[in-house]
Amino acid sequence: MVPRAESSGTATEGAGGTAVPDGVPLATEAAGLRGVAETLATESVCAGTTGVGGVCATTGGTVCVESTGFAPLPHAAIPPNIVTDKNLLITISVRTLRRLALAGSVLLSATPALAQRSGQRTWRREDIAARGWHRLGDIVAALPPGTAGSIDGFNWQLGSMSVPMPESRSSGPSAWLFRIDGARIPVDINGLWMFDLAPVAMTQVDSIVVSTMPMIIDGRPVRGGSIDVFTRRPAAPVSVTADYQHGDESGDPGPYRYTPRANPNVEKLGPFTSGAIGVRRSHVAADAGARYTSLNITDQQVLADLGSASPSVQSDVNASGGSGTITTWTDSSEQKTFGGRGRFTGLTLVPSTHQLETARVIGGYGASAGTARIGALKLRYAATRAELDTRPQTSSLPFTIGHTRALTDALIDAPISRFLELGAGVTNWEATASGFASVSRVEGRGWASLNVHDVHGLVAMSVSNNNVLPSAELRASRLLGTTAVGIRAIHLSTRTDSDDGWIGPNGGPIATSKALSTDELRLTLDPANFSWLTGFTRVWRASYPDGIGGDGRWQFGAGLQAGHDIANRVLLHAAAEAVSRRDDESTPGFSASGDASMHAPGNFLLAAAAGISSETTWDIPGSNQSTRGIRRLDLSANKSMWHDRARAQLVLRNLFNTAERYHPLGAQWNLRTHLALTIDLPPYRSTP
Amino acid sequence: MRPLIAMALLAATAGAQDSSYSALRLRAAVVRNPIAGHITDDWNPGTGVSGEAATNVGKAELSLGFSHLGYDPKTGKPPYKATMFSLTATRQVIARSRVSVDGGGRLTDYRMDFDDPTVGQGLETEEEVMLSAVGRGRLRVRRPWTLFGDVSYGVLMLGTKTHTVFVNAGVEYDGRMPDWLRNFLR
Repeated sequence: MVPRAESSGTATEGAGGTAVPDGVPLATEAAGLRGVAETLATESVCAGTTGVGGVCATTGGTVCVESTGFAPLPHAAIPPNIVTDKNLLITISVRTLRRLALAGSVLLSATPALAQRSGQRTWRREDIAARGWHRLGDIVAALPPGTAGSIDGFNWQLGSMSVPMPESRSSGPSAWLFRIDGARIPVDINGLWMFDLAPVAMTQVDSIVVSTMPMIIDGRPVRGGSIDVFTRRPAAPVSVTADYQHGDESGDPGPYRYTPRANPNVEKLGPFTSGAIGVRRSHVAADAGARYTSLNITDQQVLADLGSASPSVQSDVNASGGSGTITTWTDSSEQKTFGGRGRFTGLTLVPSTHQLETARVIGGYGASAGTARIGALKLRYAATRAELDTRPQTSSLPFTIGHTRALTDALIDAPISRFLELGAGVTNWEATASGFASVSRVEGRGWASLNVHDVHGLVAMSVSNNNVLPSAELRASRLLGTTAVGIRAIHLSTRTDSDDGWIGPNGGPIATSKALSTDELRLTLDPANFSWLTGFTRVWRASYPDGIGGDGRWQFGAGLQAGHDIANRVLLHAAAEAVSRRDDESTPGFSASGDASMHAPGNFLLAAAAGISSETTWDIPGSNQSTRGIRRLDLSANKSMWHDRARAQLVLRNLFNTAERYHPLGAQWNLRTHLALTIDLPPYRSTP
Repeated sequence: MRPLIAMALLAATAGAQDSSYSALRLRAAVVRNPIAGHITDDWNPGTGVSGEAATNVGKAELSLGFSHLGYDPKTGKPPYKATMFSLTATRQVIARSRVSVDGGGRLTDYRMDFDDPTVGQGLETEEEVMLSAVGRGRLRVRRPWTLFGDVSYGVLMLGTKTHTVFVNAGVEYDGRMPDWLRNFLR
C-alpha cells in the first residue's frame, strides 16, 4: 500500500513530487464523491507513487489517488508531461449525479500498463453495495464464474481459468495471494479459503482489487491471482458504521408440507452483520470492527454426502471476529497497523483430503504495511505475523486436519533511481500437529524492477529449501496506428514444497518436492476508437509433476474486458474469457460476467449482474464429478436515506432460479432474497 | 436581459430537480386469491384485507403494502393464514381524464402461519418470496379520493412453484408527503 497522492486545485502532485499538469478537468465537489476505475492500469495518475493507481477520488479541492501496491513501479512510471495512461479512465461521481469523466489522452507512447489491463478490476464501496456484498467471503463473486468452488457458499477453494481447483489437482503452494493494505494475510486451510477469518470487517473496507492472472507480487510467484483489500481511513473525528443483512432461499414446502408434494425445508441465509467505530485526530486514525456471519446447511445433496453423520453435524456454518486498524500518515507516506482475531466453526470439505470434516479454526493476526521516507529514499514495507489454529469440532466425522500453522512475513521495497526498484522479503512458516515434531521453513526472496520508457522488466528470485527459484516478467507496449498493443511474458518458478506447500494436511511436512512452473504470454489490444474495451489473447503453459495439475500441455485463451460509462449515469462492465481444452476441467473453459449499475431518481442505486460459465468436471478420487456451469442473474436496489446516513438494500440472487452449484457435491443455490440495512454516521467518503 | 437569463436558468434547474417523494398515497382494499395453483386442491382462500402506502419516485410509483387473508382447509389439512409484505413499483401507462392504468412489478414476502399444534417450535411459520407482475386501474372520484383495483399474476417460489393471481379492490387517498419524511427519504 502506498500513500495517496494529494493535491489542490487541478494539479496533482504525486507522492514522489511529480506533478500532473494543470488544465485537467478534475471534479472538485465537497461531498459525495466516488472514484471508480473504469479500467485498471498499473500506473498511478500521479507519477512518483510506487505501486499501482487504480482509483481516484476527490474531496474538496483535493485529488487523491489510491495506489493499490499491486506491482511496484519506479517513480518515473509516467513522464510528467503525460496526464494519464490511455487505459486509466477515471470516473468521478458527485452526489448531484453529475459525473465528470477524466479520460486519459491518447498517449504518444503507451505505457507498460497496457499488457496488465486485462484480468484486473477494482471494487469500490459503491460497487460493493451494488453487488450486495456484506461479508468478506462474498468477494469470490468477483472471480470469473466457475473458478471458485464451494459446497456451502461459505468457504471457497480458488482456481482460475488456467489453474485447477485444489481438490481436483492439488499442487503445491496456494495459487492465490490475499493481502490487506499490502500485507499478506493467510486465510486458507489446506486449500480452503476462509475469508471471514481475516482481520477486517466489511464495513471497514474501502476498496478491493481482484486480479485473475499469473503475476509476481512482492517477489513472490502467484499462479492464479490476487485479492487486495484496502481498508478505509476514517474521515470524521468520530464515525460509526453498522451493517446487517438477512436472506432467504426459495424452495420451502409451504402448505404442501401436508401433501404428497412435500419437500424438505430450506433455511435462511444470515445474518451477515458487522460494525465499526472510527476516530481521527490530525494525522492519526483508529478503526475498530466486529463481525458475525452464519448460514444454515440444509441442502439435500450436502446432507446426503454426510449420510449417517448428518445428525451429529452442526446445522450451520458461522464465523465471527474482531479487528482494529491504526492509520498514520504524512504528506508523503502512510502506515497502517492492524490486527484481529477470527473464528470459524462448522462443516468443511477439505480440498487436500477430499473429506468432509467439522472444524473450529481460530486465526490470530498482526500486521503493518505502508510507506516511509528515510531521507530522500521512500520505501514500502509490509510485515505480518499470523497463526491459524485448526481444532476439532465434535461430530461423528473423522477429523484429520488438526494443526497449527504460523506465518511470519516481511518485505521491503524501494526505488533506487528513476528506472530501478529493488525489494527483498522473507517468509517463515511453522507448523505443529499431533504426532509430528514442529517444523519450520524459511524462504527468502529478492526482486528488481526496471522501467525504461515503455518497457518494464521484473526479475525475482526466491530461495526455498536450498532451491533457487527464478521468476521473471517482461512487459512492453506500443501504439500501432490507433490501437495500443501491449505484450507481457511471465515465467513463474515454484516447487510443490514452496511457501506453505510443504505443510501436509495434518500439519506434518510432505515428502514430495517437485518443480512447478508457469509461463504465459499475453497480448493486449486497446483500440483508441473504443477506449472502453480491451481485448486480449494469451498462451499459457504449466509444467506440473505427474498427476498433479496437468502434463504441461499448452493452453490458449482469449477474452475481452469492457468498462463503459453511459451519459454519466450508467456504469457497465463486462468480461469474458475462453480457453482451450486442458487436462483438468475443474474450472470452466468459458466464463463471462457482466454488471451494470445506475443512479436512479429518488436516490436509488440499481444494479444487475450476470454470470455464465461452461460445465466443469472435477477429478475427485473415486469418480469424475461434474457441474452444469453457472447461469445466474442478480438484481439489487439500494435506497439511500437520511442524506446517505442510512441505506436499505434488496438483493435478488439467481433471479431465474437456474442451476447454480459450485461443487459437484455441493449445495444448489435457488433464488434467494436478501434484505440489508447499513448505517453510516457520518456518511462515508474516501478521503486522504 | 440578464434577469431573463437568470430566470431561465433557474427554471431549468428547478425542472431538472428530482421531485420524488412529494406525494403520499394511502390505499385500503379487500383482497382475494382466485388462483393459487395446487394450494386450492386442499385449501380455500378467503377474503382478506390489504393496505398500502405509495409515493412517487421519478416518473414511477413505489409502494409498500401489507395483506392478510386466511386459507380454510377442504381436505382436513390444518388451516393457515397468509400475511404478505409487498414492494411494488409501477408506472402509469394510460391516463384519460379521471381514469388511469398503471403497470409494474411486485416482490412479496408471503408468510404462512399454520394453525397446527402438532408441529414443533419454529415450524409453525414459513416465509417464501413471490414475484409478480401487477396492473392497476384507478378512477378518481373526487380529490383526494380515488377508487382502484389491481390484479397481480405471480409465482410463489415454494418447492412446488405455484402460479397465483391476487385481486385487490379499494379506495385510495392522495396526499402530500410530510416535509420531515420527504427529507428523510431523500
